[in-house]
Amino acid sequence: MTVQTMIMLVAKSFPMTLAIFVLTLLGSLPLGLLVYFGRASRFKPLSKIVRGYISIMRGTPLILQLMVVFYAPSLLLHINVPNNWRFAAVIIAFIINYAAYFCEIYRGGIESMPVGQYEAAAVLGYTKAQTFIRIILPQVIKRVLPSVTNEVITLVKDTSLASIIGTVEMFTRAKQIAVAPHSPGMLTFVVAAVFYYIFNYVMAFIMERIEKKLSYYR
Amino acid sequence: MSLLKATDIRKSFSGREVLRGLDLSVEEGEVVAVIGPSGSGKSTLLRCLTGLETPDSGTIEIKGTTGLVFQQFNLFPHWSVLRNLVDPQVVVQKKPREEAEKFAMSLLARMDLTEKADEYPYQLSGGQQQRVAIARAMAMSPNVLFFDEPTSALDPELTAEILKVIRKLAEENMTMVIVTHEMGFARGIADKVYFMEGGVWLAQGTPQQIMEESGNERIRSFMNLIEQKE
Amino acid sequence: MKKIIAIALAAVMILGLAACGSKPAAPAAAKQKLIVGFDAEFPPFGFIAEDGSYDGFDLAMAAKVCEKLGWDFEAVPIDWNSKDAELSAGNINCIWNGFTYTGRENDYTWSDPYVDNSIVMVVKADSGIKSFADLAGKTVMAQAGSSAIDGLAENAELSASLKKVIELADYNTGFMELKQGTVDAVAADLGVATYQIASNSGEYVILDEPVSTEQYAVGFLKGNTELRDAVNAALLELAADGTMLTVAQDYVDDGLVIESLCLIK
Repeated sequence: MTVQTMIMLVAKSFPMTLAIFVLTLLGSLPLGLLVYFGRASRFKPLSKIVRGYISIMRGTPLILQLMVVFYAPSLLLHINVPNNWRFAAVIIAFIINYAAYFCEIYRGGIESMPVGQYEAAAVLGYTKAQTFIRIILPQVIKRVLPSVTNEVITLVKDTSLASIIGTVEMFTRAKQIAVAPHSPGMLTFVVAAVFYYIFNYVMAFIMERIEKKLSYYR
Repeated sequence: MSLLKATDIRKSFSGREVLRGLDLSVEEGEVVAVIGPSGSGKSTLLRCLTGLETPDSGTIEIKGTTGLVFQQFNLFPHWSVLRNLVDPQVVVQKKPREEAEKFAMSLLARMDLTEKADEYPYQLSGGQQQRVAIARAMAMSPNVLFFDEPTSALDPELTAEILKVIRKLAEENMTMVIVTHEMGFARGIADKVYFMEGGVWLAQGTPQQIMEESGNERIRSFMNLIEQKE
Repeated sequence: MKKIIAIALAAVMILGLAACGSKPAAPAAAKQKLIVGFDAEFPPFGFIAEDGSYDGFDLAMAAKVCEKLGWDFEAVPIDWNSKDAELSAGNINCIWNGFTYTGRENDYTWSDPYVDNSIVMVVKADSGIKSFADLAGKTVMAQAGSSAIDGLAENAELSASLKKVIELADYNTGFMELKQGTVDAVAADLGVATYQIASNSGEYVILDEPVSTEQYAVGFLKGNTELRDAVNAALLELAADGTMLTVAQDYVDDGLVIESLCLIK
């Protein structure tokens, strides 16, 4: 196997890593906000359940959660899972895990908002929903952006955990190539590392641009 | 009938009664100053009158709408000065944007802030921010405007510019209720002064009656203390 | 109330996602399908080919069996540690990938063994280690969950003399550690060992004494004799008519030891 072939094979597995990454963010960023509403609910049973969920998501390894989501329907509930369940399970597990972390990040941001912002909005006659969407949320986004960037970068690296349920993303593919007959071996990992690094570099750059864009006020 | 009439307002926080049966009536065009030592319940009263708190008992009748100017300004930092004034009109009052902007610009002109319209709150001095806050409250065309110690967060030189603005509003017959520590100002501008301590009115009347003729020992010692500071 | 609605929405979102992932299952009367679970990091039995497809002696034989039976064939790369869960969940219907029969006789329904493989000890050629006695106090690597671990456990005398057995996820990292000296020996299947020696010429040697002897077979979910019988019959025919040998010759270059194929001895 030539080095070019090896690089091509690694590159071809990148879309899977990218898909896990993008779908996880698309799902967990908004879901995290909904989870926050549940956690902050004055309806105690709901708030308790959500707290339990967050505690489990943050207190157990993501790799274990992947296995539970993938196997529980067929092994515990005896449901016939569709043949693309493997990928769906990866996305669901990643989304519900990351939503728990994003919820806590949002919570930090929302609770750090001065109460005066709510009061000023209330006195002007904004409804609670208008206050949240127009006044609180935009400021919270700015406040939590650095923490969100951290999670985004972690997610790029976490995508490799999907291999536990047989999803062949970039890292798993690199491991396969490295042991394939007559492959360049170790060099495959160097190439994979370069791919991960460039991907993270691009993400960090994008996040920095967004932060800059939001730095028009203090 | 009065523009604002509050009767027997009571409010407790975790068992401690902060307001203990207060009456207050404000006529149209009247300027009322509320004074008293800190912790006496002045701010709580304002918060009840503007709906930020619900009194435990008592009735509040207000003909029309209210506005509130905070001690800490509470401008929306992510919006320009103009948007701080325009957005509530458009979103809450459903005014056409053009009309709202025109009104906002006229208010900014009155506050001497025309050239600050496109700046953000953090770019302004404290005094300018408080003037924007007053303009924002005015933008909703309130029937009565409340001020919660509007100069307490400001340096003395900035205090004067706010007092000037409030005085101007008084001349325009704006109905106002002002919680303040500025005794001289209260004396000069208020039609009526209420002195609060321990959640009740210790005294009420014209500024002269309160400041000079009151026989109450507590009020006299409070006045002396404040005047020494000034 | 709004918050309750918000949570309901969240739940719907999750279910919706799940629903998006589900397509109606294939009709039951469809062509029978052999879904082979394999480890793509286990050459020459299963590995990734230059064109990005999965290849290997076992996959090639599985394909021949399906061809003979007129079945559909699918190869699913699995995480080797998850093989039992994959089989129980029905994501795969057999494990065919250098799968050790010896010691697991009662855990699966098996085909006839087709590879006679031993667990051998690989050491650096210049290490001076010549026999098991020289391994006393040394560190040995074996793949986690593999038959090499079982083999070491069986060979109690040898295990007791070792300093430590390090279990790693795959043999590639094991041989990397052997190269850099963080382990002194690697206990591996004969096929794996032969392949590693061939691709690192002169660097490693196999000790004469085997750690244990073992056989490979195709594993089916325990009790699934119907599927086993069909596959096994086809496999025996392919061994008898020379197809197996022809297929095997394609994988010698990848480390397959023809002599270990016990069905065509």
